[in-house]
Amino acid sequence: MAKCDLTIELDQPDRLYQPGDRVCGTVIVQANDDINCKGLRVSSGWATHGRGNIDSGEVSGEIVFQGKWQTGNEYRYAFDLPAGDWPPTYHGVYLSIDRYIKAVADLPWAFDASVSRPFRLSCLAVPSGGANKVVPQSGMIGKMIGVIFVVVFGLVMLLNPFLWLIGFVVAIGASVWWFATRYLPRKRLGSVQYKLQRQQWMPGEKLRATLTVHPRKDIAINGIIWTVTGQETCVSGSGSNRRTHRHEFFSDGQVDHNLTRLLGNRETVIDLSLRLPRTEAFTMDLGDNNIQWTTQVRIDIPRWPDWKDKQDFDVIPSPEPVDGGSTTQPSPAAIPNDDAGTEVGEGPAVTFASTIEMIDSLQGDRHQIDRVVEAVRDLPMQLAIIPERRELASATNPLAYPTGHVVVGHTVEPRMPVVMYIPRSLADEFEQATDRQWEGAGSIVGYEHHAGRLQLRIEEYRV
Amino acid sequence: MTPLHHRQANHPISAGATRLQPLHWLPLAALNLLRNPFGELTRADRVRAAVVDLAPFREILDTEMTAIQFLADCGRGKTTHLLAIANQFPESAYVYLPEDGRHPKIPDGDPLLIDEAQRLPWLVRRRTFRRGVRLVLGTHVDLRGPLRRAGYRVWTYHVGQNLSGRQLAEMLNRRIEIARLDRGPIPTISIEEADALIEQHSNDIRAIEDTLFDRFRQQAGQFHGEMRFND
Repeated sequence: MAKCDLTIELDQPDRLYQPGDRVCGTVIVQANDDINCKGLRVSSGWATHGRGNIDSGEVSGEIVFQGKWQTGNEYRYAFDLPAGDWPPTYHGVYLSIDRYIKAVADLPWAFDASVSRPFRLSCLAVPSGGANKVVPQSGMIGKMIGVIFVVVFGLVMLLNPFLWLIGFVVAIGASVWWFATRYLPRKRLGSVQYKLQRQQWMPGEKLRATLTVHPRKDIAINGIIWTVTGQETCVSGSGSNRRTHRHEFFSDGQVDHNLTRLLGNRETVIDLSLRLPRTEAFTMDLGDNNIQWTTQVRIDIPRWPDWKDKQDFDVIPSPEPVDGGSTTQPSPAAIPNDDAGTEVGEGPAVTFASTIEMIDSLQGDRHQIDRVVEAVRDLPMQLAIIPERRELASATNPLAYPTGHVVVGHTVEPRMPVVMYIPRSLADEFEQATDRQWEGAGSIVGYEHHAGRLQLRIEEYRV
Repeated sequence: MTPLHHRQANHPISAGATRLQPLHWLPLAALNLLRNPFGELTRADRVRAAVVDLAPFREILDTEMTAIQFLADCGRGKTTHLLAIANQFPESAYVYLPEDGRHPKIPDGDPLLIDEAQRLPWLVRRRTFRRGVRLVLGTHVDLRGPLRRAGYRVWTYHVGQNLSGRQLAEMLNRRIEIARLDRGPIPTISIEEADALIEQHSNDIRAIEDTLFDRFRQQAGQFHGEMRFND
C-alpha cells in the first residue's frame, strides 16, 4: 500500500473554463503511514497525450503544505490556481490536449505520490502576442545546431574539390526539379498569383482566396483544383525510432472543371471559397505535436506539368464561446450557426433535412454534433433515405429492435451515411427499396463518430 | 483466433469519503479512463508502467566491475528495463544516444545506464568502459568483447524473448491502470487476449501498443462499457 493516497476534487469539475478564470478545489490526503512530507505541491498546467511524444507546460504552482501526516487521518488543502490561456482542451484522433491540476507529495525514502485531475479550458482568442505556438527550448537548440551544421557543411564543400562533384550532381537534380515544376508551368501560364485573403480564420467562417492568372496567350486547361486540409501531426520517439503520425481530420475543396480556357493578355481572377468547419482544432505548434491547416491549389494543364502552390493558414478561436460553460443540455436554438435558416429549434422548422444540413456543416466538430443530436434525439420526423444494404454486425446494438434489422444507407442531400434500426415488419419494404429513396417516420437516436454516420430509428408504421 | 473481450472489475475498491466526479466530457470517461492508455508516456510513467523483476539485476549490480547488457530489436522494452533499473539506484545516471545530432556528454553515475550503447564512438566507448563504474547498456549489438577487454563481468539479457501472455497482460494492464480516471472498474486484458496479441505481433510490444491505441481510440465518445481487444 502506498504511504498516502491523494485525490483532487474540483469545485466545478464539468465547468468550461475561460482564460483568466481560476480553478478552485481541494487536495485530499489519506495518510496510510506516519509521514513527514517535504512538500505538497499543487500546480495547474497542460499536457498532450496520444501518438506523439508528450509536450507539457505549467501555468502556476504552489506548495500548500509541509509537515507531518499521521496514519489513518485525512487532510484537506484548498487551492485556487489560474486556468491558463493556451493551449485549450482538445480531443482529436492522434492528439489530445488536456489541462490538469496536479498534486505531488514529496516523500522522503519513498516514491512521490501524485495525482492529476483534468479540467476543460476553452479559448476565445489566441494568447496576447498572437503566439499559438509553444516552442520548446529543445526545438530552438535543434534549429541552431541545424544552422551550424549547414554552415560547416557548406565550408567543407567549398574546401574539398572532390565534394564539388557531389555538389554539381545535387545542383543538376535541383535544376531539373525546378525546371519541371516551376519554370514550365509558369512559362505556359505567365504570371500566377495565389493569395489567401488573410492569414487567420475562425471556425465556421468562409475561407476566401484568389487565384490570379495572366497568360500571354490563350491556354486550355482541364480545371482548377483547390483543397483545404486540417491535419494532426504527432512525432513519437527520436533518432531511428522517430516516427511521424499524421491524421487528416478535414479535407474539402473546390474543383472547377467549367473553366477550360484562360484568355491571353487578360487577367483572370478566380475566387475560391469554402466554409470552414465549426471545430476546436485550432492551429497549434506544441513541439512534437501540432495541428496544421493548409490550402493547395493546382491548375491542371493538359499534356504539361501542372502549376501548384500551397499556403498554410491559421484557424484561431472565435470570440463567441462554443459552450457557455453550462453542464446542462443545450437547447437546439443555442447551437451557434451563422447560416440563416438552418437553426434547429426555431418554431416548427425542425425538419430532418435542416438537421442533416446542420450536422453536415459541423463536420469534424464532434462536440457540436453531439449537441445537435442530443437536442433532436427521439423527435419524430419525416425521413428521406436511400437504403443500401443490411448490416449484420450491428444487430446486437441496444438501439436496434430486438427482432428487427439494421440497414445502412445515406441521406439524399446533403449525402450523409446513416445506419437505420428498422422493425421486422418493415424488413421487406426496405429490401425492395435498396438504392431507391425511402420515405417514412422515424427519429434520430445517435451519431457514430468512429464510422461518421447518423443513427436512425424507423417507426413501425409509415406516415 | 477466438474473439475475446470484456470489461470487468479488476479489483474491488472500497468506497472512500471522497465523491467521484464523472468528467463525462473526457472521450474515454465511459471506460473510466483519463486518456488513451496506449499513447506515448512520460519517462516517469514509463517507469511506473514497467513490469520488470529487478531483484536479479540488483543482485548483479551489488558487485563492482559488472555490466548488464540488454540486447533486442527496437520496441522490445530495452529502454523500459534501463529506466526501471535507474529508478532503483539514486546515484545512477541514464543517457540516451540519439542516432542523429550531437551525442550528449556521458554523465557521471554509478551505475551508468547507456541507451543505444552501440552508437558510442570507439574512443568514447573506450574511455567510458575505463571508468570502472557498474554499467547497464541497452544495445542492438553484442558488446561483450569490448566490455570483457575492459575487465568487466558481463551478463546478457535478450529482452522480449519468451514473452508470455501472463507477462504481457500484466504490462498492458499496468498501462491501463496508469490512465485510470476514478475508482471503479476499468478495462482489463486477459491472458487469453494477450496470448492472441502475441500470436499476431510476436514480441513486438510497440506494435501491440499501436494496435491497442487504435482499439481504445475507436471507443472514444462511446457510451457503452464493453471493449473487444482482438478481432
